[in-house]
Amino acid sequence: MIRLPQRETRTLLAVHGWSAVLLGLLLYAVIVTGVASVFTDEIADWSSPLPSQADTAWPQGIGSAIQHAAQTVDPQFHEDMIAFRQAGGRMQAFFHKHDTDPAGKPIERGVVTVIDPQSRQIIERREGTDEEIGEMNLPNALAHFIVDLHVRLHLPNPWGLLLTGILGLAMMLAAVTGFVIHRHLFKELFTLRRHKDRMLSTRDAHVIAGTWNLPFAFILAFTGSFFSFASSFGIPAMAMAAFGGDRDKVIEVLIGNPAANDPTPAPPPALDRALDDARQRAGSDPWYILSEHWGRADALQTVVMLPASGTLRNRTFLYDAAGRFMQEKPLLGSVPSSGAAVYSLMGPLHFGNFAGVLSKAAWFALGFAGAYVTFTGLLLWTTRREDQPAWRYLGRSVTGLGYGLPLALIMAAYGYFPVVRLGGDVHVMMMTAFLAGLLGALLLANLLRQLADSRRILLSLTALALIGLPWLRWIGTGVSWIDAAHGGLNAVFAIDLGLSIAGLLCLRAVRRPSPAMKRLPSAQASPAT
Amino acid sequence: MTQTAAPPPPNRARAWSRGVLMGPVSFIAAALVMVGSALWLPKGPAGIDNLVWPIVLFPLLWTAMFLYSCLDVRLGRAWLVALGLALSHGALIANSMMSTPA
Amino acid sequence: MSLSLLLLVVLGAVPSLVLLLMLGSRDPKRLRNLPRNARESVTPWPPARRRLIGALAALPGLLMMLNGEWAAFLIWLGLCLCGGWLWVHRLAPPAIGATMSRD
Repeated sequence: MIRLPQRETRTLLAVHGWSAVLLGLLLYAVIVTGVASVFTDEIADWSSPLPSQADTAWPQGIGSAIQHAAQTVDPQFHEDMIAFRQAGGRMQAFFHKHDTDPAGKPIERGVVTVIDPQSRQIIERREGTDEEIGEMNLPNALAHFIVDLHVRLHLPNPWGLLLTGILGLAMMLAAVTGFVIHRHLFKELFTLRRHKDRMLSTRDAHVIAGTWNLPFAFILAFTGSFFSFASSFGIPAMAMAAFGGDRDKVIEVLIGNPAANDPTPAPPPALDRALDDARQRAGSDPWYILSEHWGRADALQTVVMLPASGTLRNRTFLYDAAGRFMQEKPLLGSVPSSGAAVYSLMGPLHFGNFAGVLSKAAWFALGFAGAYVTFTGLLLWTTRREDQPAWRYLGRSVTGLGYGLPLALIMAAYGYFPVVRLGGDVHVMMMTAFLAGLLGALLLANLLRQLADSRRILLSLTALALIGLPWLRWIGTGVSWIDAAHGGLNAVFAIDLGLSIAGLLCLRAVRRPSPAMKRLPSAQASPAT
Repeated sequence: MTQTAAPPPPNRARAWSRGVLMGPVSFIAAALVMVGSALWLPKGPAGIDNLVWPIVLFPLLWTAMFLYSCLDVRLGRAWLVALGLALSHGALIANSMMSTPA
Repeated sequence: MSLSLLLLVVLGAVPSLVLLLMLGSRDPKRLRNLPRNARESVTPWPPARRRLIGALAALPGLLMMLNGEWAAFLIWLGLCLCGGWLWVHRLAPPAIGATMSRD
């Protein structure tokens, strides 16, 4: 495709290989968890369903239910309220005030009321800081575990975000250099020589997957880096350079909401009126509603809508205390701008959630391809150097992590459901189960002589874990398939079925040898030590 | 017939210099350009373009800086470009911080 | 997700995928590299025809972009890329008789 001089090609090939090797295992973890995160809403609904699923988390009259919930909350927390959909269609309304922790870090402190959208009753209450309340959120705990692993590898902010940001940069670099150094992109588009020697077939597998996945690899890496760097580094740096360190000022300028200052007490904001109007204007359901200055004359309601069918972007409407429409505004700024337009694309392009299950399925498949590219690239590198002891260890770790990470993620669910049933610290249980799965897989790959055996065992365990998970979910949540049918719990059916099919596919894969892991003669098998 | 010159032997100092340029220097330069460009880019109708575009484009900015630093044959020139961008934008940032009340 | 979006995606993706399937089946490099016992009795397409078929495969996506149907375009692109990748694996000969030689 692009004819570069030899020197440049060699340099870019080295950059491509070394950047991937140094960061490839972590990048693989981010990509695999990203694939799972595509269906985070569905996983939450599956792991913690309500007895029946409402058609929408925002039925008519939900605003009144939120207003009623406000009456049960200490007025000191009526500074702001944000409401959004949670696991199983629950409506979560977080009444809070802005505070600082002992270290001076800005936090939110308040009360969460969780409302059943069908009965309009409060079914759960949690109080504390935003972080404490998040920790107590059992229904969403499994979904949050997976997303948190993807967003920041469970490391504290800002380090986790900076690390995933760097991994995104590495992925982009690999995509760009891979594109440039592959001179016969279109000529080799359909050529996969599985019947040839191990090196060639592994190389082809990697190149084919990389080529077909190239546009999305670039998009996902670019948008992923943006999300990681924007909050951990970009906004604080902008605040320091241009706003005297005032982060709140930067956020205020970016959001662009009209300033108001009329603390005259007023009736609670008319949420239902605002929601009804927003639904009509956007032709879609709300994503979330933010109500500022609750119970004041200058109350402002920001209703952000899900993309209407066929569109990519969210629409944002502003309403006053009485629920009267004030204006439509972009996601950022008070009037349309190029900056707001480009920012509003980053979410849909990264999450793939703009068209429900259809777009999510496409993003899931593409993410899977991205994980395959990373995995085969690492295999290619380590297979080429398997006569060198240091690279041999990496090769074993690649096999262990490559097949072990999906197993470890499933194990996290095995840590979640017993807590739902029996109680306990859900975060400790999920992390313990996850790490046990991961470390067990790494240990297995390093102890067994043949990598093909490690692969076979790990795939078999993954298959068993996948097939067993729907049954564990049933025991943990008490929701059978009959209950799910009565309650219209489609996510329960879909994911249970998906897990079972995935398990059968893993069993099928066990029977097929991997070309990259041909069984070596005993004399050549890498010793465990 | 002229003979082509043999490639020079690898130079450790040069390799280290290249590595430092490709690694921390290009990252810091890209970061400084990102933050500094907020001070000279037009704000746009909503007053936010100068803040949003640099953050959005940072991944591309870094990739371009990185690839340039590793591909430019003339190492000295690559250092000059990186340092020039970093220092110019760093000066803009320092000036803004000194003139903006905290 | 509405029915009209689904229909648009299907109307775009089906012809594109069919053309990709055809391109893959007649790909010269793939056919040249088949093992002897898996040789297919099809003739590879010349470059000009391959370019035409490739352009036709991309046409539905181009039309979606020109009409501002960006959601449909992205889903179409995703389906074509995944479908193409799966088709390559489907066309590839099985991994039998592979040697242990190193390159």
